[in-house]
Amino acid sequence: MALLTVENLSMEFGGIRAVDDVSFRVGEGEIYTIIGPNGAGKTTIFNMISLIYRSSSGRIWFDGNDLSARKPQDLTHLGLARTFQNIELFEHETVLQNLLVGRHCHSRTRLWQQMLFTPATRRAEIEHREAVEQVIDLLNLQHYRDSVVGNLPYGVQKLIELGRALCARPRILLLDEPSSGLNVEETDDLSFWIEDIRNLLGITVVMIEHDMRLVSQVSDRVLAVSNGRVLAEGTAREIQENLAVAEAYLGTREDVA
Amino acid sequence: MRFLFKTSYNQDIRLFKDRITMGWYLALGVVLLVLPLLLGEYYLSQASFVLIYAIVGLGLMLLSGFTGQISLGHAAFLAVGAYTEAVLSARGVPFVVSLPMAMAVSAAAGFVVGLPALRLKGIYLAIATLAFGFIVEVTLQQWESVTGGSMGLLLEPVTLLGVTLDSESGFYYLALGLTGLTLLILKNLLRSPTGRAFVAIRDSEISARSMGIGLARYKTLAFVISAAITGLAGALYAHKLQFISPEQFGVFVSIELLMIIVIGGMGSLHGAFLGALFMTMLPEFIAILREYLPSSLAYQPGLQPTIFGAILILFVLLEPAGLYGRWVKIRTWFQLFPLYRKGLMKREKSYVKSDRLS
Ligand SMILES: Nc1ncnc2c1ncn2[C@@H]1O[C@H](COP(=O)(O)OP(=O)(O)OP(=O)(O)O)[C@@H](O)[C@H]1O
Ligand SMILES: [Mg+2]
Repeated sequence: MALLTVENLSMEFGGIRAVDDVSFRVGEGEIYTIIGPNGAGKTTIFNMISLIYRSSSGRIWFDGNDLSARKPQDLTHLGLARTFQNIELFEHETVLQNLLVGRHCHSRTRLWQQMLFTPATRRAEIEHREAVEQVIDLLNLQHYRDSVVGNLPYGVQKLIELGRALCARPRILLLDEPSSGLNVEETDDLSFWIEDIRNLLGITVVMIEHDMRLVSQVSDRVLAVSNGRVLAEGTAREIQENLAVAEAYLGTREDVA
Repeated sequence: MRFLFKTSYNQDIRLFKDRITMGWYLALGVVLLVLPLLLGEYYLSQASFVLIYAIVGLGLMLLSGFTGQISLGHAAFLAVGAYTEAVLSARGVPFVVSLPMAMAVSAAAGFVVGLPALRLKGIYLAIATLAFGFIVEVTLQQWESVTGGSMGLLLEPVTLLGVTLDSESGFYYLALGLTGLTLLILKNLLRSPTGRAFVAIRDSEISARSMGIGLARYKTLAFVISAAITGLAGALYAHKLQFISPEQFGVFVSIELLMIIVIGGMGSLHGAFLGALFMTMLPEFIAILREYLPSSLAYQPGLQPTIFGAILILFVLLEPAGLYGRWVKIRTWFQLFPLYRKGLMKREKSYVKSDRLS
């Protein structure tokens, strides 16, 4: 059974169909990539899955739950976490504090216990910290633990955002252009991390990505979209050889130039 | 410069960074405890006002400095606490009961004001809270059977568990104890998931939500806690003055309360104390200044608000991090001496948030 099922999703912005009847399924343990030219509607698909945008048409199922009845803040509790294309971190806080927010969905102590900082709260805080340290070790963030996020280089911030999502220990992770702004070396590291996240942590990954080298290295399956519509679905190689996809990319290149 | 070597996760959770820091705070605590021996009646009374303002500052700091929700109506919560305390104590309700009730009534008002905050942001929230301030002020004037209208209400000194605290030092210790308690509870909250949720909402609502933080719940909670703390300060304020009337809780007072946290330094608990100290001393300075001004200017009724306003503008323009930010810079300068270079504390603008969501 699929972990994430998207059925006939559509979204309009003032007459423009940003997403047009998109359906796909992602199986447990898959690395599934969405590609497409700028403005194809990829981020909008993510925003619909994470319930930031709502549309009457289409349905989203996650692990047997119909998400239309849920609120955005329920998603990490269900096991779905995401990152943003234009980094959305808590800039004035340290890396550690940012990552600890990722643990929010696992906090069980009550308000009065926190106000008095009871032993139960202290124990819970140490557990959160241990979980965060595992993510810090995984992503090699030891060096930045106590730095304020807003001062760090873009590439590191991208990584922290990935880390924050991992701290929620999700079952599925949505990554919106994780490699944008990274140099070649950092992108190589990223491809290993994405594989580790799936292989070691058992997390299903859905990502939006432009870097075809990264896409073909890690993806099990690829979905190509353009103008809000699905063009093709298949392995990275199949997609690269697909004529319609090539045309969609060339078409927009000319528009841009 | 000091380096910290950390060996256990408990170290990052502790109230004090290290032993030296703890030593400084202990010393400060001792000074505060013996203050009644050092100061005369008048200055001790001023010290009590500093503590009361500091409690309000802490409450407002939680809401504006940590959760990012502005309030231009905080004097109204102060009023709700003060009037509840005045009414209850006049009916013989003991302080240990009336104080929590003053906080509860104020918290309930905070809950009501928090509701529009779920939809409003920035300037619109400022206007809504300002309107709330007006409503409370007018209610206090009109509801004469309970509030005494513009005649106000009189209060007796606090009687705590059979002991009447009618001396300056008695009240000072009460205020000191309650300030310490408030500070401890806020410190605890800020190192727990709830405090992190508040800060997350302040910095990015969209990612706070996607990390599982319900905006409605936490924004309302911030208003409720902030109002309860301000209500506590209101109850103390009422007993300190022993007379309250609607003019003491007007819009200008709300702005003064906001000045406490802006001047003290947004987003730091230290700031609430520094701001409270500054705001208590400012009228004294203005009184001294009056002697040097030509009398045509010195006794203009608008002098104090004008100076307050000018200081607020100067702080916002020149030192947005407030007095606490200035202190941190000075401290860093000494710690790094002679390595300090200009611009060290400036944040690099590393990237621009282009098309942010919502
Ligand atoms: N909130 C919004 N309001 C109006 N139009 C929007 C909104 N969000 C997206 N759009 C439009 O929807 C279309 C798809 O945008 P989307 O951000 O999903 O593209 P994308 O595939 O993620 O592109 P990119 O590769 O540049 O990130 C674009 O035409 C965009 O202008
Ligand atoms: Mg996008």
